[in-house]
Amino acid sequence: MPRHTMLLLAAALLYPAHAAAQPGTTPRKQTRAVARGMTPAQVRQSLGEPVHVRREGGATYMEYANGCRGCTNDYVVIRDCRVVDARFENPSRRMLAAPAPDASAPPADECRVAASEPAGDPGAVAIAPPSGPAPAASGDGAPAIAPPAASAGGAPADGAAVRTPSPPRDTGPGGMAPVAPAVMRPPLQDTVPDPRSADQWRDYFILRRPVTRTLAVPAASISSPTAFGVEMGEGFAGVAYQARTRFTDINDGAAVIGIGLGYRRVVALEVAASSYSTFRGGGPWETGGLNFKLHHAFSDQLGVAVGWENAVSWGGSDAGNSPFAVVTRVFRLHEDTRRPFSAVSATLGVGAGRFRGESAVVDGSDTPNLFGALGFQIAEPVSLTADWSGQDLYAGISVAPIRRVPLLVNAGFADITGSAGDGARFIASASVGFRWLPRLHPLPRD
Amino acid sequence: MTRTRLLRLLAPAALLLAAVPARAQVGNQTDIPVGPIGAAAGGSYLGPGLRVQNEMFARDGNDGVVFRNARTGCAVRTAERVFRDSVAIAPRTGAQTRVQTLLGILPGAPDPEGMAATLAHGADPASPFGRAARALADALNGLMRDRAGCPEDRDAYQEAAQWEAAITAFNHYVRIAPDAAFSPPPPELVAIHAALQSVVYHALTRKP
Repeated sequence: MPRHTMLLLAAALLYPAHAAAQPGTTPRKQTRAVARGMTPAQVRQSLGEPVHVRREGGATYMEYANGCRGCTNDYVVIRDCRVVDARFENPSRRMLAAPAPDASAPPADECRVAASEPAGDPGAVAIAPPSGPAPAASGDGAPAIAPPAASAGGAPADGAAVRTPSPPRDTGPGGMAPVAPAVMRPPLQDTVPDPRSADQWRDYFILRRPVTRTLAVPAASISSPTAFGVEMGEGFAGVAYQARTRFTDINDGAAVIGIGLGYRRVVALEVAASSYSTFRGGGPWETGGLNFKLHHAFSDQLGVAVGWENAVSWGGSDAGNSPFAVVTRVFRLHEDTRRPFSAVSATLGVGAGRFRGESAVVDGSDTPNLFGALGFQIAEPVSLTADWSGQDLYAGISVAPIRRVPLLVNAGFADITGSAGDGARFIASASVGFRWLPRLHPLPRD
Repeated sequence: MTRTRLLRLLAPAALLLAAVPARAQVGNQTDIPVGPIGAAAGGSYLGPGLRVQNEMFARDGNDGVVFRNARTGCAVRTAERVFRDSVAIAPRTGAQTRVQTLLGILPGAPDPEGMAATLAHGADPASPFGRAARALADALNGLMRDRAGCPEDRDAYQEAAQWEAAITAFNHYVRIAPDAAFSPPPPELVAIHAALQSVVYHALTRKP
């Protein structure tokens, strides 16, 4: 069969299926619209019964709850039994730009703005219970709210026939739907609270955003200490694991908890207690040590610190003690941290103890050695790090898996160059930051 | 790995282990130092210490209040413009007119003193509530006037400090207001709340 014949046959088969799948022109999203010139009855048929009706001057306002906490109600303005304007916060409602073509005087029955309002009596309005805040009258002409009355749905109470709204006739370029006027898109809720007590009003008015959140960002090093630390009110806790210790086939774990004292813009002291025994030996804290780091931040991107790991130890730890001095500089590549490769950090230090070179360890020399780290924030929650501990090269990845929880998970390999001769070792750690005192300043410095 | 290579690697390790037992393991210790564990303590890319972030504001190096970034500043200006457009076509009450004039949405002379007196609900201007009302009125003065454009530098959004002051002053006012101030609340407060809430929400939820 020739190709064009097959195409024609396919088209002939597909068209009825397409037509069957498109019954009418019903939009997928229900939008309720009003147009200028509509009568109140047509508005009620389109939007339902108003929750509140008020009259100011010659205008009548049919108010509709819009689900926006704290916003004024949506309303339609009626003059002379015709819609002249409307304001909608709820995106499912819209005001059509084109005037309705029917300009004849509507029947009096269609001028009722509420189902319970007698026809032709615009002065007596019985309304549904207001679901939004009811501001006090302040001489603005706002009428007092009538007592709540039972209110049915959108159908007229007497079952009188109501003309259906005219379909929108204005179209945008290419026949697209009419463009709605610019409206805010506030938070939508099922109901708008109706506060009564002062406390309920306070709860209603309080602005809950913008909020200040603790943010999780990845680490800048995986082994080397950096020049930044916790200050007064801040703390951290974590656990670490290595699949195999250097020169052995025995895995090992550790835990640490630390707090900050003082202020980093002056000088702060980080005190951390390590437990080198976990499940083996005497259990947690049977072997451990105290670590101190005195740090000062010149800015948010530059800091210096001096520290002493295991300045005090107990239980026969083989970690020894390791004094060090270090400087860290963060280079911001982009102001927006959500962009990839937004920052690079560099850490350079000098230390003794665990930072010494292998030859110094073998010789028993206390000669200090250089250590350092480079970190690349490749995405907001992910960084890659490369550390030189003074003895081994580390490579790892740090991930903040939950954006608003200061939990870091780090994994990598120690001694990736095999300088020890027994291959790379898998290491992993997880740590979480916390506050033990409230913040002094509500806004964070960045 | 061949046995020869393994032995070649293990030999120095065995020598090292034999040479530096126990105490001499400093530098080759098996215990894990604090550094790898305490990553949450510092050294991140957003500055030292625990990272906290306000979704709208930040402090710059001089402790000045700025928007968190230029995109947030632009979102606020866009939300202000949408709100101005939204209320421009709508009829308004006298209270809404006064609030929108104070905010700079409507032309006319703002009246922060009158607004402060209204919000003070008869309280002494020198009282804490009177001062809170005055602070709120002052913070709202010209807050949402038309500022053209969206600069790429967040420091160019000089209204950030006023926005932060307005939000802080509003919440402070609501918290310390006596119960009588809410029975019922003044319509000006409702109008202020609607304006602030709409702009803040729109700015923070608008997709770039």
